[in-house]
Amino acid sequence: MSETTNTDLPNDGPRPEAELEELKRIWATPRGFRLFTAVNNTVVGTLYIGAAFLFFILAGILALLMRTQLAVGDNQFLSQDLYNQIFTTHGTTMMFLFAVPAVEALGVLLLPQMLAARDLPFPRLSAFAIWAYIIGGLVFFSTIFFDMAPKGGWFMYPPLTLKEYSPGDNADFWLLGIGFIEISAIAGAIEIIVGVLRTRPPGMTLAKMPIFAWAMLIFAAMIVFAFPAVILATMLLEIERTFGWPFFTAARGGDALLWQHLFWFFGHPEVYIIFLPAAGLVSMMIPTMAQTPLVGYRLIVIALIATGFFSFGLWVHHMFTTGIPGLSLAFFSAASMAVSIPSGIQVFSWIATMAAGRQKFRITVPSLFILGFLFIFVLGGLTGVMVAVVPFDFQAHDSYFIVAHFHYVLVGGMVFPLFATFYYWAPMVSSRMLSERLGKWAFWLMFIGFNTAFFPMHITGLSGMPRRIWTYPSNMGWDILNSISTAGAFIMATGVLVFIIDLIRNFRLGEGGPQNPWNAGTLEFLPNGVYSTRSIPHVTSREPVWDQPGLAEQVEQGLHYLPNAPTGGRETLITSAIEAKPQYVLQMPGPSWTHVIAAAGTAAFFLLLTIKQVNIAVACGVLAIVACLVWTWQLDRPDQGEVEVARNLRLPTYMTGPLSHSWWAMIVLMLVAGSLYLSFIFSYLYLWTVSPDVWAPAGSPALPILAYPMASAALLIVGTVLMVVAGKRLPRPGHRSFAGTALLTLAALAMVASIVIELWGLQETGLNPGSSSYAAMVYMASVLQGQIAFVVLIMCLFAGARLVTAQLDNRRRVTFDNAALLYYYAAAQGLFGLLLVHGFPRLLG
Amino acid sequence: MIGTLVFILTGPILWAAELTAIYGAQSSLCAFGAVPQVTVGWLVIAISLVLLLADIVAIVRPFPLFNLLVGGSPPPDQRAFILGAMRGLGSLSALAMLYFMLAATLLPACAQLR
Repeated sequence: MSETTNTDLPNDGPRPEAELEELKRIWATPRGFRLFTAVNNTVVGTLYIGAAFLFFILAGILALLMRTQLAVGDNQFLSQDLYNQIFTTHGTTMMFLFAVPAVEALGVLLLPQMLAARDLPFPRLSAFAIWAYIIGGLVFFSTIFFDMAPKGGWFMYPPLTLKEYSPGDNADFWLLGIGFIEISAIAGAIEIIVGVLRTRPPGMTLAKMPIFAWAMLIFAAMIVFAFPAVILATMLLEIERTFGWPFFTAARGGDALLWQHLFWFFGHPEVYIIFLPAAGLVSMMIPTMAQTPLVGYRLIVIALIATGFFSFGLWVHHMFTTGIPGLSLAFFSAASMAVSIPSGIQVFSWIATMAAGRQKFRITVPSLFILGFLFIFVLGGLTGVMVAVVPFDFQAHDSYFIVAHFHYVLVGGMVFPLFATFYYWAPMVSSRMLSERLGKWAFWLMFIGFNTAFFPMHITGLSGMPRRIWTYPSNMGWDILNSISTAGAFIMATGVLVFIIDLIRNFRLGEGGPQNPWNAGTLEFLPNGVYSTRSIPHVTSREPVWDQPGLAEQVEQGLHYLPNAPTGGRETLITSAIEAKPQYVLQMPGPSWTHVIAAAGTAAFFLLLTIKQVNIAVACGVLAIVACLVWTWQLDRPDQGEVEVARNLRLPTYMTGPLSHSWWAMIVLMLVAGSLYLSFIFSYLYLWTVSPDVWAPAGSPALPILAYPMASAALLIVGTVLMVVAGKRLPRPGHRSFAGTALLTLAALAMVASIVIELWGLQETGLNPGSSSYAAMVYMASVLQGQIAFVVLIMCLFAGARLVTAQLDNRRRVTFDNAALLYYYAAAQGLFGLLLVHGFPRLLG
Repeated sequence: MIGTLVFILTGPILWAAELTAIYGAQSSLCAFGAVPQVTVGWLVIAISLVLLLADIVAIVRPFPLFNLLVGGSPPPDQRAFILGAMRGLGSLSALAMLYFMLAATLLPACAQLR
């Protein structure tokens, strides 16, 4: 091969053969049983999407059972109790175990390739998330076989789901099982935010990012702010069911509507969390099918962001019939109409792109599913605007009209793009493409079946058929339409079956598939190995494969950035968030059993608590923590100095402070914790407005004397000062510091002591958390503080251990910085909590 | 980086602040009957107007805001994108804020209406 010295390219060629061999060795996928330890995004992402698809099938089978029951009136195919379990499990599985994990899986699978990164920035974290999800999801779904499935609907409203009306462990499986699956989603969200903002290839500015990357960034940000609300709600409900703290019991000052506010503050963004990534995928596929750049790229970015933001202002539209005053409803009606505008912008942009490329637009299986998506999703959006009109919703709420609406937007808006995605991106992980012939059969059966199943539901709903009923009288005139819906459901299922047959016949995991079968312009179709691309390209446009001639060959020859592994381990480039300028080389961990054990332990902890096996649950929790400690002990590799990633470009291999990807992950985690606490503050103030008669100072025992909260606050402040001092006294490299360890330990103990003193003061007043919603909220503040203090304690002791083993110093300080960040947040949260609990009632008095 | 992202999100942030303020104020003031509902209605309109105007000012004169948040000018190769995104989001947010304000002009603040 001739020498290449093209000063336009980052590196010179030919590259030494040994570089490629080393990349293959370092990034090799573990074989045999050790495959469980794999962390490569292609392996984890494929497993993730496979698991999500399995849950789609399982929940789909439940839907067929439901439709069989509802095919005719007065049917006895399923009992009422079993039907309630089935529809709850169907909805819960579709929303929590299929829809969000599927789009998150596609992010894990596709984003690093689209960004030409070797992997996501925290590979073991996404692997942990997926194992926790698989184990927890399978156990949750299996409850249907043991008459243990929850039966309160996927939204689990109290008072139906309180212990009085839902005895047994059924509801607890939802509360604890889904609760930790949400934690899994948050872990993925942290990964995606840092990955999209910091691991893009050089030159890929924000303005040149693939639309799917924008969609996933917004998706992940939405998870950060939406999921904590439902996590808090599940905690409150589980605590009420277990200990009787009356958050949702009106007789003792609680309010069932609090659950609805918290749930739907999560629940509405949830549906856009599901839709936006699918919209992003469509925005990637249409330009390829039309062989023309996306029309209105900037408008679509604006639309995605606007949709993400506005979706947080709609939640009360799920509560129009709860007796909230008219103007309040009007705010949310207005917002619900406003959110349709950015969705419309996207639809018109897609149509314009197809029109711009109409001479070249190809009707393939992916484009068929996209056209189907457009038709179905727009219909669903139109009925959405209808139900945004409050008086109309008064009639349609809890009827089959709503069932029709949300299936049109969710199946149209996510499932059809998902199937398009399967056909379009299969060549990335399969050595063979899926069949166009079988794909067309699958599409038409699914499209005809879906519309046959769900369109009649608009009419049955307007004819008065309520939701969530296990049967109906035959004389209501609903039989024929229901029978048609049932037939349609089975036709749609046949389409899915055809797809499964296509998978079995043609999908073959492995390399060697067609390189870029659709002639796409984006980076995921560059030549890929287990190490992703041979070198990380310098990008100058939104469709670099179209606009940069010879890019694929240049990347494959190693003529762009990081064509080797200068640190001898797994690495990728970290670039700046706005301008994508190279900043440092990220050293990443490889396969391990630690995160698998941590995931299994975490799942076991929550699931065993569900069946009240507390001792074993605690043991599993301890195992999970130990596994996490071993896992994190292996991270934070030493600085290896600067390494060459391109001609005349040497980058550091270690970064601390605000530029560090680890710092960013901690900031995102703090945003999650902050969102959870904000939900708590909302809940406290909301219950005060609902039940001021049980609130201090008039409605409860006297507040603790000020000495208690002041002592508690003083301990938090002292602990913060100790952390600051510890940070300034980190030892020089190669030295231990027992003094530093002592400071960290004292700081952690100070935080724990602050909670003990707070609880002591409350106990002195005789305040009983089961007596009123006010008391429950006061103690809940300590519960939340205790949770974060527990994590802080572990992180401080961990950092202390690193200090005494000379693995933490004033240069290699990421472990300390992470602990300190969380400490400062926890201290601020604690101080605010004290102000709320002890200051607010005094202000009222 | 944070400054640039906050700049782009100026409109939605103002929209979110408006919804928090007007819904929080209207629901709690109405719940306690603390002030006449006409006053509540005018309060909602006043808050909406202030934030809507702030949004419009930001759209019309974005550079002082960018300088305040980021301390400089947008990078030349991304200037059009950053400004365009900010203005587009600001415009959509302004429309959404106008919708909120309209609701307050058309409906009584605290009545059930059914």
